[in-house]
Amino acid sequence: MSADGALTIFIVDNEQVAINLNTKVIEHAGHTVHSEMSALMAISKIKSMRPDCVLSDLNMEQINGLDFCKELRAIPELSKTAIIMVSGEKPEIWEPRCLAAGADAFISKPIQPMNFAKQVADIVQQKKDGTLKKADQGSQHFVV
Amino acid sequence: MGDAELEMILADMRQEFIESCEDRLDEVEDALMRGISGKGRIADSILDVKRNVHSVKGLGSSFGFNSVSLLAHSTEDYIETCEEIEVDNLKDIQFFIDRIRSILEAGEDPSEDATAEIIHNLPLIGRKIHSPKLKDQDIRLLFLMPKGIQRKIIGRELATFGFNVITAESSVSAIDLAMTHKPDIIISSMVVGRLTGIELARIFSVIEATYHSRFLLVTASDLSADKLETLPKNTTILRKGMNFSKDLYQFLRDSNLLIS
Repeated sequence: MSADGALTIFIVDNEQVAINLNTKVIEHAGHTVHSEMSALMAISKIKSMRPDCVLSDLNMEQINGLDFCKELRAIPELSKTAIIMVSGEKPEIWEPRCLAAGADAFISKPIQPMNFAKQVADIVQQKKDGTLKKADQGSQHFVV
Repeated sequence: MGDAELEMILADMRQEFIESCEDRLDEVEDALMRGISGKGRIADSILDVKRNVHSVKGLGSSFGFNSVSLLAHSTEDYIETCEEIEVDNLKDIQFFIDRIRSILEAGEDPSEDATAEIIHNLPLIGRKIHSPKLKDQDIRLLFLMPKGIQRKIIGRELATFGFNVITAESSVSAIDLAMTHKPDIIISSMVVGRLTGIELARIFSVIEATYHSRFLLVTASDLSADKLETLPKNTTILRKGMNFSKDLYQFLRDSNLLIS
């Protein structure tokens, strides 16, 4: 995170329109965005970039979001990176699975553009402060 | 930068969203057709349908189309509640997709009440949509509309009523076909090449083969009073988009053409 609170955020989604939407919304809030449609391609970029946050879809073609999340969590350099799953799947089923795979939060699609950037920034801040609840301490499901 | 600027950014992206959704719906329709025609396995069709419908659901509300997300969600629910998907179910799913398509074509999210009505009339497992049928199964209908999605949707709609449909793509071919088939009803879009729908209505009202025909003009916008005055008296206006079915049904009922 830069001194002015601007974050570096990496978006992974196999839907170009979703990437474009999230990018515009987050950049509008003053953060820097990188993106990749291929989760496999994203892993090495994320490892070298060490963003403050990764926003990932669940349903992706080469590797599903859960496995992608586990891969990222296995990289020690990314221990401080918040991983937020953003998905239209049912949260009551998928949120616990995402948290168990190492995600920090689950945000339901469709996102609400006016609140999305703040919601993401709050989760990142809570992770840095150590105030973000762990998976077994309660739900991190956000409908923004 | 404030919320107003973000709203402008989102407004700029709406067309991108609509085009992306339409591409997704094209893929859904292709998948459904493969399943319905027996050219592909139904299970494979459903996988394609689910993938694309899920994408549409995940974007609609973000761009101000709550109804699109809700309808996509209803489509997912319908599929989930099917024990075994059969060809009839694929036809039902087509009904869902047509509703989503009509909203995107109209380019604006319907009101909450209108959305609730659309959802209320969706197929359910065990509750098929039974379109009212015509009393006379030999009503000849000349359908004039340029090729495109709207023609596809309206054509399907007409077929469910049981019309004997003759399709034309241009005003010239429509006049030619009308001379031969002497249609009972003519449905035309407002834009049909060189002539407007209004001009065609006037032409058909003076041709012997069609002066008795009912003329239905499909239009996206309200016609001005002076334009309405130029329409022959046997003309009825049908609104394009999601109101089309309602207007057509109203016309058929008022004309006493349906089995009650």
